[in-house]
Amino acid sequence: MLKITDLEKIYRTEDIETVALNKLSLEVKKGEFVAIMGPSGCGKSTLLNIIGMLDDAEKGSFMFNGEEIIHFNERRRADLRKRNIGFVFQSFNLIDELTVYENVELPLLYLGVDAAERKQKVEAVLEKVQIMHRRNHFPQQLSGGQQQRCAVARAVVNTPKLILADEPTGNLDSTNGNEVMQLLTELNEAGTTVIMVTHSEHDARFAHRIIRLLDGKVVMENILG
Amino acid sequence: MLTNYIKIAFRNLLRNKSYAFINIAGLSLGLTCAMLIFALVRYHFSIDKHHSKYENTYRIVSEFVSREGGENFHSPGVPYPLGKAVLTDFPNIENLSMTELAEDYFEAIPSANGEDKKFKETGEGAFVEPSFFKIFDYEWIQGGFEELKNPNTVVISEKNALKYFSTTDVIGKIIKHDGRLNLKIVGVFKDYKDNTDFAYEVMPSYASLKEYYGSINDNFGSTNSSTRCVVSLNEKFTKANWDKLMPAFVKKYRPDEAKYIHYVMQPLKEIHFSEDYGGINKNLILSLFAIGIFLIITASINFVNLATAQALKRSKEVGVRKVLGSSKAQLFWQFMAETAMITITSLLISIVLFQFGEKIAREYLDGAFRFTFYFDASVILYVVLIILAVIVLSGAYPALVLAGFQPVMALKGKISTQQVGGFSVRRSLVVVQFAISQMLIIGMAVVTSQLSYFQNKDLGFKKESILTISLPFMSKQDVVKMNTFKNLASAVPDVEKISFSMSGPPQSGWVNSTSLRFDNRGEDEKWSTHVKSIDANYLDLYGIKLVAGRNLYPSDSIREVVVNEAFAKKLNFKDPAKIIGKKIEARGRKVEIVGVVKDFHQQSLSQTIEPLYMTTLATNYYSVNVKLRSANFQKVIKTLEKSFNQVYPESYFNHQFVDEAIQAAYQEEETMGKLINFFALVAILIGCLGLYGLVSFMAAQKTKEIGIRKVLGASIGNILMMFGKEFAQLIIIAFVIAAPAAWWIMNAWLQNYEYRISIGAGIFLLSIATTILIASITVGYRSVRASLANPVKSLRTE
Repeated sequence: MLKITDLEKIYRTEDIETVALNKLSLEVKKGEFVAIMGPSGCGKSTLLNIIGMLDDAEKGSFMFNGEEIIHFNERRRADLRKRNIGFVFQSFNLIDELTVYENVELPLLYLGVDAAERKQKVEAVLEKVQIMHRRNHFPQQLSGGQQQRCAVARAVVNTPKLILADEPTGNLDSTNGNEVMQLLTELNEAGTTVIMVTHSEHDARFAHRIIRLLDGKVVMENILG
Repeated sequence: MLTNYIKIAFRNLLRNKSYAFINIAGLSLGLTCAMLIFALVRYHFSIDKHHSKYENTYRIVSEFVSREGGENFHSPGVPYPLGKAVLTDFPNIENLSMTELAEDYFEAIPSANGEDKKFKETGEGAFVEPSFFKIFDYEWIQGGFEELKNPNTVVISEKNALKYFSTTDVIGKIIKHDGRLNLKIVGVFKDYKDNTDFAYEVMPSYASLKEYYGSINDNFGSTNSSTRCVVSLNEKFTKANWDKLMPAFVKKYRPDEAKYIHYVMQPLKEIHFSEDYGGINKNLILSLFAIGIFLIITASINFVNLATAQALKRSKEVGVRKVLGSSKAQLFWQFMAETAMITITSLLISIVLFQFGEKIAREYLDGAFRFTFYFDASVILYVVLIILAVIVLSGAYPALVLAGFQPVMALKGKISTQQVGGFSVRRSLVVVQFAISQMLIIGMAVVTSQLSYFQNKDLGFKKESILTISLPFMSKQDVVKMNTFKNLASAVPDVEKISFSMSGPPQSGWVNSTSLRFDNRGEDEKWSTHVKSIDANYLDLYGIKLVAGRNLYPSDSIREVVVNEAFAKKLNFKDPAKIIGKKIEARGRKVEIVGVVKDFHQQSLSQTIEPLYMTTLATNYYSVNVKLRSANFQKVIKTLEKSFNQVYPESYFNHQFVDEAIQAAYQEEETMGKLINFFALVAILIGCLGLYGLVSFMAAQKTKEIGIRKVLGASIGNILMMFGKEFAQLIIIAFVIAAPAAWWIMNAWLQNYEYRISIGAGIFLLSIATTILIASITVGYRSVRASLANPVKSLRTE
């Protein structure tokens, strides 16, 4: 699915250089569920942002589905992103002015899906994450777990090939957190590749493989049974 | 997708009600005013354009070249016989019509019981020739213009036909012009559009003029500004032909003065704005237009400031949308759509406000600036242009800023002040707003001071409690009747003094000017002098002081003259007493100067005091001046009206208070003052709204800074200073730009007035003080609230 080789990312301010990724290499195969772990500042989020095509790297290679995308401009990356990748964030990042239904519908709008198909897809996914009954509520009227389920629904509504989850349970209690992990596992079992950044060893155990980062480098990989 | 944008825009507005309110209120106000100004400007630029011969119509006007090398004198009038002479010499001229303006007239309608119904007309009328209607387009409801070649015929407007007879079926009916000239109606025309400078309701035939005046000065030597000539030309005879042949024409008819007189063909399209010939000051109209544009700019600046200030709140949305696949262009158009929505909402509100505004403006402007709003395609075009301009001006920058957010940063709320357009952008925009406000405040102050100068300046005569009554217009006044009326009026207990004069009060719109032969000199002076016919009571009634000699002795004919100081000075008499006893030639008679009066303003303060002599001539009196004692003027006026109608049953009692009449002479200035005041207030209000928005932005930006400062021990006063210093700087920069610009513009305006105020430091101090006061009030509330915020709370949000 994706192959990263010798990726470098350096943050510069006037007189300080911070190396976020230091010649990092990584490969994720189609259908895998990978957890990325490491202490604060190890480069997890930077890596996830680059994989999500939200950020670009200085050097190295990033092959996505067999295509080198490291030099893609913002528009091409946006295009690639909206067709292939779904995002789940720690802080949900739902748009407050839109209802549950409208939030989930948004990626389909950007893909130009017609109205009837949108309705069918959104309803199906809301059903799946069990918040159909709250479809006309605004995010603030929901519990944290419901908000994250809505965010997951939004991430998968256009059936992406890859889901990127950035500490998806970080703002949730353990019951709600487990529900969300359950959802991700189900999606993975249905064929979607999942890459998740987490601090939680408990959550990481849902994955097939754990990659541990330190100072912008992969220091250890655990394959889970 | 579009519905999604609209939905989110709408919910955003609901959520940020104060933001929405500031933007929509400011923009609606700005748009309403801009549309009102546009209506007025458009009206003045559309004058007479609807006539099919607009491009080929001209007015022949007179230009008198100054013999002393000074300014030329212009008159829209021509000598009475000019029309006939032009047609004889240049038979190829397509159409020519002489016209004689009738102002301040009334029509008497004979009724069955023998008593006339009288209608005082406030508009203009004109005696015209039939060819007038070949030059200008009129639609006929009844009859036509052909019979106007005969004396004692008239055509009237539909409105007037309905007013006089309650029907338009009036052909053959008789009306009495000024109660004494019988006219048979031969045509009724459809009411003309009022965007014309030829707004005549009643048009008697030019052939009736001789009977109306009794006698006519049928020579080239006298030019009355009411006697006019309009022509339409075609390729057989063009303006170029006229320009070539005119000097020879003048030489033929005025051999002695060929060098000093030009008859100029003025194109119809130049008439409205030709100030020399009594037209409107174009700069005035253009200044208003500029103010309109200022209002739009101010409102747009608000928009930019507030929208970028809001940008931080929207950063998460931008981030999410980008993550979900939105391109930069999609986001840009989304925010443009929001701006468009706000702008169009404001437009709808301002269209409603415009309806009220138009009504108010019409009353408020007292007709000094005529304007009628004609709705057609160009209005839509203009509105669409304004809207597009506003959307682009105010939407593009914030939309670019927002769409340019880095998604990762935006999601983490790490968008910095720099990214939402450095504060410097907003700063310069606020400087522009402050500069506009201060220029308008200075303009306001100058116009107001000049107006109060007009009202309080000693004119050199008394004007309180004096009433003037017009005597009937005839070539020679009936002295017996005049004295009868004088006796009746003097018997009224509250009448203190009474006097006759030709043109009413010492200052009036009427100026009678003549050449002068002084003493035993062999030729006329190179300058002309003003002349007034007054009786012996006039100086006393108006409190005009003598500086040398004595008052005129009572007489009905020209017996002697008094002159003003300017007259003596012009003839180089340093001591006015020395001119007493010298003789001048007045109306062909040599008479003695018996007195010199202190200079008084016989014209408005835009003019200098001209040389003047005054003499008795009873047949030339057209006004009664009455000094009243009582405070109950209405009762006295009623009594006087009764006496007047007894003496002049065929005439109309037309009266006016002197102080009001003088006031009315400054109507244009007063209207200008009102307009500037009003629009300046609107501009300031819009600016305040924006300032409030900006300080809210600053407060939000500085929440953390304020928190830290407070933790470190800053007092509320310190925090307030932080805001105060910022805005004080902006105001001062704006003042540095505004003050010289405003000084330059207003000084140019003041040059129109011979007697004027000088722009002192006071006006500038006032403007900056006002701005500081307004800004402090606006900024105060927000900054106090920010400084009072609990630092623990503001720091925790980070």
